[in-house]
Amino acid sequence: MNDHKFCFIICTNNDLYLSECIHYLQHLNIPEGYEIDLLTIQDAPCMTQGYNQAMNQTDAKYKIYMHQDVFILNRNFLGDILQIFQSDKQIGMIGMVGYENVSADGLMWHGKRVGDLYKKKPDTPYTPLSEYHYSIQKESYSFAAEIDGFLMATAYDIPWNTEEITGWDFYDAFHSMYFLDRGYKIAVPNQLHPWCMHDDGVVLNMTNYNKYRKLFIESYGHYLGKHYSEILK
Amino acid sequence: MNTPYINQEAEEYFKTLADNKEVLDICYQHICNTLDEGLAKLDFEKLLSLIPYITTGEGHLAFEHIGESRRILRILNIISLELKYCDGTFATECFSKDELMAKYFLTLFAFRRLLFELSEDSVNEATQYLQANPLSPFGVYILASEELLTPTRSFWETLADIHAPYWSPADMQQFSLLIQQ
Repeated sequence: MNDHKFCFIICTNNDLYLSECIHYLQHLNIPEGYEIDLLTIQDAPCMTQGYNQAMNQTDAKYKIYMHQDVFILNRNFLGDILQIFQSDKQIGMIGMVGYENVSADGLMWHGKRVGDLYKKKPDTPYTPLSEYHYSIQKESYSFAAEIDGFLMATAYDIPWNTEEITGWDFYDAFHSMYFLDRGYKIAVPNQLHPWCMHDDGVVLNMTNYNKYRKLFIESYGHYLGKHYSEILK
Repeated sequence: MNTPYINQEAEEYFKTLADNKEVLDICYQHICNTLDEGLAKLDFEKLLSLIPYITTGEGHLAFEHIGESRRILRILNIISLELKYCDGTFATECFSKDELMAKYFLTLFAFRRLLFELSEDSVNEATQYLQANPLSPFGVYILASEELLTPTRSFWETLADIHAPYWSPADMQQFSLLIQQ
């Protein structure tokens, strides 16, 4: 495992979006002594299979699994997540948006949210991006029980569940539980300026969503409603 | 925590979605087919028939659940205004839904690159794209004000500068009025 390497992993089916996503990655500052890699999986049968395939293909310690319609705005993203990971070895995964509790109905966004995402109408006007620099001392980070799958950065490899999670939903919720069950914390940076924009204009195919929601409830019924601190082993 | 009740609410929500799925698919397919046919024949009446279909007709279901439908409606509203007040429309050189949406996304991406100023090259590429594919004042304003962007004064000024060679004094005045809203 190369602990001075980041790998971006993207499942893709839209060249226009992928190209624009990569445009933002190309503008990231790379911490000195580190290298980056990019693996794209074209037309994967499902998210977990695509992610597992890529996870096993790279020797990068730090893997950033992200959607093709996510644009990383924070130019110091790599250095900032590195700081967070290195601040506490128990942090195994970082997300941009997360939820402190596992929601009672399995719908992640029904929980108390931490983190941020670019909004059209923010509560307070955004600082110009060129002036924004994350400070781990001032902004710090929160912990979560689950993170949204549009961006998930890991410092440790845990296989994605390709047996049961065979679609495009709930891979994030399940993977969050795997990290907590293994004693890893999940961190979400507190962001004075959102680090990412997620252009998810197309609504999810909710038919399969409910199938995986029920599977999640069956598998983790004992965690429903619980705070991350109650779950962490 | 009343978990069974909360779970029941979620179940009812998904049941409604499942019940509507077939109709939703038909609506969305109708929108796509109409766009393809209308653009192939430059039949603007056909294209604009989608506005009431989406806003008040059966297509409203697609509007509620499929984000692309909202973008399609946005484009149609732009075209509707352009047909009344401009030469040329957003659909110029687009002969299918895929071409229309590609133009929409490339325009949106260019707008964002202007806003975020990742690098000089990034801004230059965006500028060049917009200069090669100039929009009407309606196209610029509606897309930028309704999409996931937070336009600033300097952003509007940049767009006005880019379009200055292509807009008439009346277009420029129209744009000024729009951004003052």
